[in-house]
Amino acid sequence: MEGVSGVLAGFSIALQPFYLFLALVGAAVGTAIGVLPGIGPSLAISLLLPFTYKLVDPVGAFILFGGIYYGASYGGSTTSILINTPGESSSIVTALEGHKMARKGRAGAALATAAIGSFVAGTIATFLMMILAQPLAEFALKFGPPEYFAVMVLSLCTVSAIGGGHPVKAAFSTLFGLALGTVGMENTSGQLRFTFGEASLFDGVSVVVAAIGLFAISEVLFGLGNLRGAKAAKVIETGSLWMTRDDWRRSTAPWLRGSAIGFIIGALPGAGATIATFMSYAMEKKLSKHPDEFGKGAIEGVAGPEAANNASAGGSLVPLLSLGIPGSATAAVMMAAIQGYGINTGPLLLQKHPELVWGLIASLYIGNVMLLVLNLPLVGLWVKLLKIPESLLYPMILAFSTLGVYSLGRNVFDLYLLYGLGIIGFILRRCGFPLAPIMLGLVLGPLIETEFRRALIGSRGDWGVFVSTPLAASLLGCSLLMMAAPLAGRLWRSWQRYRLNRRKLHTV
Amino acid sequence: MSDPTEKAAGVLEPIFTVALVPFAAFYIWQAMQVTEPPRNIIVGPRTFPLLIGAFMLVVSAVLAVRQLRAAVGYAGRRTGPVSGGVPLEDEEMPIRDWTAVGLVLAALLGLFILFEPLGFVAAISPFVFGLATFFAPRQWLLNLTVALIFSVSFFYLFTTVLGIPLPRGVFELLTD
Repeated sequence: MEGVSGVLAGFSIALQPFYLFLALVGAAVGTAIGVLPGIGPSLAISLLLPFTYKLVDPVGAFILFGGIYYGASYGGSTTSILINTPGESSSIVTALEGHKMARKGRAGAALATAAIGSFVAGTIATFLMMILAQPLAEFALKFGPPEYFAVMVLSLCTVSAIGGGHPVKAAFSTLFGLALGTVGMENTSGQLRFTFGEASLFDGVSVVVAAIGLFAISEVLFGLGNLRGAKAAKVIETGSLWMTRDDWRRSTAPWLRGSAIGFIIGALPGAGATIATFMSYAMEKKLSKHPDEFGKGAIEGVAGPEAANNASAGGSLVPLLSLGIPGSATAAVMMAAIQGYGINTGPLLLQKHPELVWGLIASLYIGNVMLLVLNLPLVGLWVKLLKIPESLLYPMILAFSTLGVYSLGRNVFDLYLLYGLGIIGFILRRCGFPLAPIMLGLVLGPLIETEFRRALIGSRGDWGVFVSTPLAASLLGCSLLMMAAPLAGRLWRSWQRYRLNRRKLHTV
Repeated sequence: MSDPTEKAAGVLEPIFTVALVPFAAFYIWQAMQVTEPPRNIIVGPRTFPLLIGAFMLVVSAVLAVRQLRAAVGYAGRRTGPVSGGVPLEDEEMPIRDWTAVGLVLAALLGLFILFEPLGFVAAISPFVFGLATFFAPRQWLLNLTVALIFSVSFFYLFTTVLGIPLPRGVFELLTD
């Protein structure tokens, strides 16, 4: 198996002291931001970019970001269980059962099943990543422009259809992201588009500015907009971290099922961790022998979703490493970061920069062990982070964001762009539009346009090229289905309502 | 719904949603302004934005119609479909304190305007201190300490360790 020899080479990279140190830093930072409200992994990575570009090489940056990504999903469970305040949307489900367990004095068992489940899931996901990366990349190398175009269109349609939120609203978010991606100098003809004469826009809207603006600014506005008059959260004591024999027996199957759901959902672009956790919760509730315990602190409801959460992080890295298509907002920022080093992402990444891919995969195995240690025996340390008053935390996030954006290009215009995107992100979230599709649209837009043009130039302008091969045609067909599914559901419902009304009319 | 700010927030969504249609039209209009180079006529720089614009116009029109129908009494439909027993995320995030949102936005704009003239330390520390103290007045001493330590340490970290220059502003005279 090529994956094994690849990952052995990866371990020889990841075990170098400096990279081990970066993995540890990533794991610790990730756990911290998972615990803290208002900062997610995509934001943390964006804010760290000024440091990584100056201080570490691409391999180190990838290892650091991977650690942060995995760590954030570990840390998110701690606050869900102990204070019933999910740090991320993917930890909402954990709070349902986890906090109930904590109130019954079983906080330790809930934390343990979450952390061990995350470890199991992270290890399984990393293993699957190791096996799948190479074959997928090799398969993708056979893609011509029409197929590559079709894969990316399919991924955007998936984001819209099942990425969370209302499908039509998600579709608008995706298109808005694509539109943002067209700003700046067009990469073939060199024509300027949508720059309104502003020189700072010639290079387009930076992914980092967009990530910080959309996520950080809007999150702070929501946080501070609900801070006054909020009751201080009570932190429940962790107590003993031991799981009983019964806990182990009841957790094992949910861990494995959650890992499977999380990995598959995570690998689908856009359908991120949140959906995976909800699906895992629904499944555990259905399969449980104690359905009456759900809602009152069932350990399965913590074990499954937490595993799904972590596995989806691993899953979303698979299309990133093998196809150059990010599976989540965090993966999109990681992709932009790597591009910032001048490295082309795509199916060739594995051939041209094997050290990057295998180093990351090996480091994720190591990081998972570190995270288990950081999160179980040292859980008390992270709880102390919650003592940071939110009234200070949020202004500091804004200060960090200013610093991060300004240091990118030392350009005040970027700050105004940040401000505008922050307000847009806030309004969009307030009105129920999901933000992650904007990031995917922004990152994928220029790539889609390039493949679109290549395909049409290859066919001398014949649009039939997009359905000329079975693969491209079926991928685009799937995209159509994805878009049509919500519409069909609506038509079906209104048809039923119509029939119901008619029947009522007849009976009256 | 007694709070006037809450009422203002209630009209935010309809106005915003309907405004998406002119936004899409504006995007299309701007895409038409892009000059097509004479060569490479198969796919010029206009084609792709026009495609996006067309889709955006359709989607925003659907959203606007939904919104208008909801406004005239088709309410109750908006609790969208539930996919496979998976509850969708909350459609709308609540905001209790619109004054705070306005204040944060004003402070942030002030920070961006004054960032270069005043310099990093002199702009960031009053920003962090001011906002934190607005929300937690009793902790003013802690807020002040954190604001100063934060801004000074990051200024030195960036300028000396990372070699990324930050605006020195009013401290220009002192440090030279």
